[in-house]
Amino acid sequence: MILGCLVALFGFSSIAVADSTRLREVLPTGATVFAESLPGTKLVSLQIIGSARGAQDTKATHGYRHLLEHLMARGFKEDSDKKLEVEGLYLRATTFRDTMQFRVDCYPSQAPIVIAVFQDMLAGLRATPERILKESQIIREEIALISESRKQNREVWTQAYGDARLDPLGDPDLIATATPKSLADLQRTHFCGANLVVTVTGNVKVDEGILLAKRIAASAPTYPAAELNWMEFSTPKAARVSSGEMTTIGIPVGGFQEPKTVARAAAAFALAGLAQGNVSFMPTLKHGLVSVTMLQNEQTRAAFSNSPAAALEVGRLQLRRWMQKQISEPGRDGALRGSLLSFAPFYRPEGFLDGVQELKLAQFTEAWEEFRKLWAN
Amino acid sequence: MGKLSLLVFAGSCVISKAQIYSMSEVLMPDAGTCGLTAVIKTPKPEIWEQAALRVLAGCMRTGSKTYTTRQIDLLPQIVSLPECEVGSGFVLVRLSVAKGQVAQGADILSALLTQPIIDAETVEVAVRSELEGPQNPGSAAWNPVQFTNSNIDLARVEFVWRKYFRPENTFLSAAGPFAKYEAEAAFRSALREWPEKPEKRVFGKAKLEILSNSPTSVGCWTLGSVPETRPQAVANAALASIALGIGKDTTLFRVIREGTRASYRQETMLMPAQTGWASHLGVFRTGSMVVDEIAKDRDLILADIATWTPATLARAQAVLKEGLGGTYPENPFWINERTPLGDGTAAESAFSALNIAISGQLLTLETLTKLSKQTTVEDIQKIAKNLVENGTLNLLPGN
Ligand SMILES: [Zn+2]
Repeated sequence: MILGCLVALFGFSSIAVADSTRLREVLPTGATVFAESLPGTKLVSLQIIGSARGAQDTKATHGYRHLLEHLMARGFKEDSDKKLEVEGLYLRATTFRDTMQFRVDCYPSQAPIVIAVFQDMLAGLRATPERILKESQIIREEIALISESRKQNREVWTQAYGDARLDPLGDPDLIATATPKSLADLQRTHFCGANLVVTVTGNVKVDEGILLAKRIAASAPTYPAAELNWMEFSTPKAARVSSGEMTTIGIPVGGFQEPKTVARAAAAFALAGLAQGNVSFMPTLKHGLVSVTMLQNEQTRAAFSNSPAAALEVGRLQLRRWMQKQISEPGRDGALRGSLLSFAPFYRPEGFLDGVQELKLAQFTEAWEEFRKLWAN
Repeated sequence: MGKLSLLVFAGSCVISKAQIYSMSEVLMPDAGTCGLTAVIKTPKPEIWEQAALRVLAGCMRTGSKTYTTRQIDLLPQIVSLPECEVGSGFVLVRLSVAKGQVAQGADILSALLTQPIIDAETVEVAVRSELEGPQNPGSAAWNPVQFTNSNIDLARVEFVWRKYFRPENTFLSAAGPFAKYEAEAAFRSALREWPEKPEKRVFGKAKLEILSNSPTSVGCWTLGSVPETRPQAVANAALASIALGIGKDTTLFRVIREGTRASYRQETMLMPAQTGWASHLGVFRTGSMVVDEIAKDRDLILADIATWTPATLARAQAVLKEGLGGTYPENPFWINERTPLGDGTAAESAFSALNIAISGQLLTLETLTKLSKQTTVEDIQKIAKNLVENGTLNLLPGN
């Protein structure tokens, strides 16, 4: 287990790794705190990222994590939104397959308000059977609203991984079966020290940012987990879903910084750039998926007729642009770096960008051909 | 050069009528980008013209004869690609460029207005995407008019372009960190020949369908009010919209989402209409929608509005201020049913161009924020109550 090793390695000492504008520290609880000073920004983004390691949805609990997100966002005192909105602040809560993320972007002077809200969210869970039932109904409505491309994305993952990489939205019928205790346990695992990353990015000095992050991390639930592991799966396969004129094709990938992942991401970004499609690509430790949704039209056919060399240039440009956009804005930067740190301390956007730069035409061509064959199927 | 009539407003805005098109500048010295907008008024279009304008906007999204969208995408000076949107009585085109690049932005925008790509292939693709109709209950609710045939052809699209894309219908605006008159001069030198007026021709009507059902299992009911024109009334309507339905500590969240019937999406918005900004409210959910139930929900919403306090107003003021370029990611203003006004210089240029086009007055977001502080709870309650009591109800059940 790669991550098991990391936890052992960083378990009980505080290790700080810094460069001039970034600082990362692993606390005795196992929690990672990260701060980055971004020049020219007026806001600072505070985020808590809980890794799903040891807390992933199974077929029997499909959607409990999504329900947990809804309940945690309300806060233990159930007044998170009231406290934030009166200050003009907004809480973003998102559940992904491998992480759950809460984010508030604020002016530096408002950081104490956000810290209090996050501390309250981590302090415990207010879950009653009535509230669980109500939220399961709301989630049912939420799922009914998802777009066609989002549905295709969900379907592509199912084709690729079967029941192993379940969609984070969940199953409303199962969600209604959650109990207050099962959710409290889930929260303790999902946000215990070893699974917690707190990031403070933007208009902040790194040492001050680290102090703010530590104040939040101090509220993490203690959880005497023996070992938190990712689930293991059998080999996934490439997937393709069509409805009407829209088609999504997806190819499984491994670790975020592996050359094959970089090549497939570049191919997908090239296609999206050339055919005005949408890419879906979330960094993973392993068991990821790069997918692209496009229309069955002349533009898409023309995109595939580009030479791999020409497509590589477009893919490089689009990927670099995308990454640059992620890391220059406080909120996106914290979300990306926080989720990368929840996988591995050596996961960095810069490592990925190096991979993009070093990408060989032969590697790219292989990935490009994979997408082309999948599309032609 | 034509005569320039100048109006200096709030110390930071310049509006001029160079010859016959309108041009306004909003100087924002601290901004990092420049937003450039053109609003083309399309007064009282016939039904087929409205369909053709939507197809025209689809063509314009592919770019102009001088700059295709792919080429624009590769220019390092571009911050956001041109958006082309059809609203109620106007077409809006905007883009944003990096600081110092107003001339480049004006050139791209000018080429889009006067040399759009209108050919058989582009028209066909744009028609096909119109025929697919709204794919989600949101766009179906706010714009239930769906065109059901493809008799919108090249000739019709070219006709509406020539008919409406005239300097006298054009309202340009730029917002950003440039010197006074810099954007005005940039547009003056960038603007190309306007298209010749079309010859009179008779076209058949487009077939259309007013959707009676949502395209998905989620249905909705919406309310819409008559537009507010006075700047103070627009500010009050924005605050009422926030207190009613933007965020979680709101009337719709309490009454609808947390109430007896589950719903994930409830929203309020302001959209430009003939003479100002109209308030809208929408509730989305699955299952049957009975008029009696909606009437009960409206009563519950009214009862909640009656409980608003100065704290409600303070929250709305904070959310409005921050939603226009700070810590809050949304604000109540939308260009049409699918495009939020957004924030920053792109929003500021679109807002000022729209206001001059629809109500003939210069109103900037900065002024609006100031006006939002000069109001009372009673003022915003009155607007919210009027929307809920007297708004036009539109019901679109789920499939
Ligand atoms: Zn949700």
